[in-house]
Amino acid sequence: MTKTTILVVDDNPTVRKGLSIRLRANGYEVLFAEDAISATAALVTERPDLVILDLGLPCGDGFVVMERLHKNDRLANIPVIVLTGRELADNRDRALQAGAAAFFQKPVDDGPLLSAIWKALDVSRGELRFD
Amino acid sequence: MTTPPPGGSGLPANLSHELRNALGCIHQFGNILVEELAGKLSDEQREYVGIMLENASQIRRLLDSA
Repeated sequence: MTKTTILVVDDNPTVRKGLSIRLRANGYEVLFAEDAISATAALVTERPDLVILDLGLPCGDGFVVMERLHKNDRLANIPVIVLTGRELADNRDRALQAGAAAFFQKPVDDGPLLSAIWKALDVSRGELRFD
Repeated sequence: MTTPPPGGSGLPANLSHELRNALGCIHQFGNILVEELAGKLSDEQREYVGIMLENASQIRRLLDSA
C-alpha cells in the first residue's frame, strides 16, 4: 500500500526536521520545500496528499503557494494545513478564506496537528469541500 | 501604550514570529525525546526533558497572553 505523502514547507531546517520525525513516526512519507518556488514545483511534480505550510517563506509566501495550488485543477483538492509563527489576528481568517483546512500558530501540540491531518485527509479522500 | 488587536501578541511582529519559531522547535524536539522517538531515556533524562517542556509551555502561555 502506498504511504500517504505530506509536503512540509518551511524555511527553517530545524522545524522541517522536527516535523519529519513526528510525521514519519506516524507512518507518513515526508517531502520538503523551503521556499514558495520549490513548494510550487514539489506540488506539481510530487502531488502530495497534504501540505503543511508556513506563511513566512522566501520567494513569495504561503498565501502565494495556496493561490497557485488552488488555481491548478489537478492540485486544488490537496488539503493545506497552515503552521506559522505569524500573528493569529492578521493571518488565521485570511488563510482559512484562502482555502486552508486548518490554521495553527507555533508552537503546536502534536495531538491537534495530527487530528487535523487525519480530518483533512478524510475530507480530501471523500472529495468533500471544506466550505 | 496601544492595545494589541485581538489575537495579536502586543510584541513586535518580527519578535513574536521568531520567538514562536524557536519555541516551536524546543517544544517539538522535547516531545520527540520524551516520547522516545529518538531512543530510550533514563528516568533522570526524562525528568530533565519534562522540566524543559514545562518551561517552554510557560513561555508559550506568556506569549499567548502578552
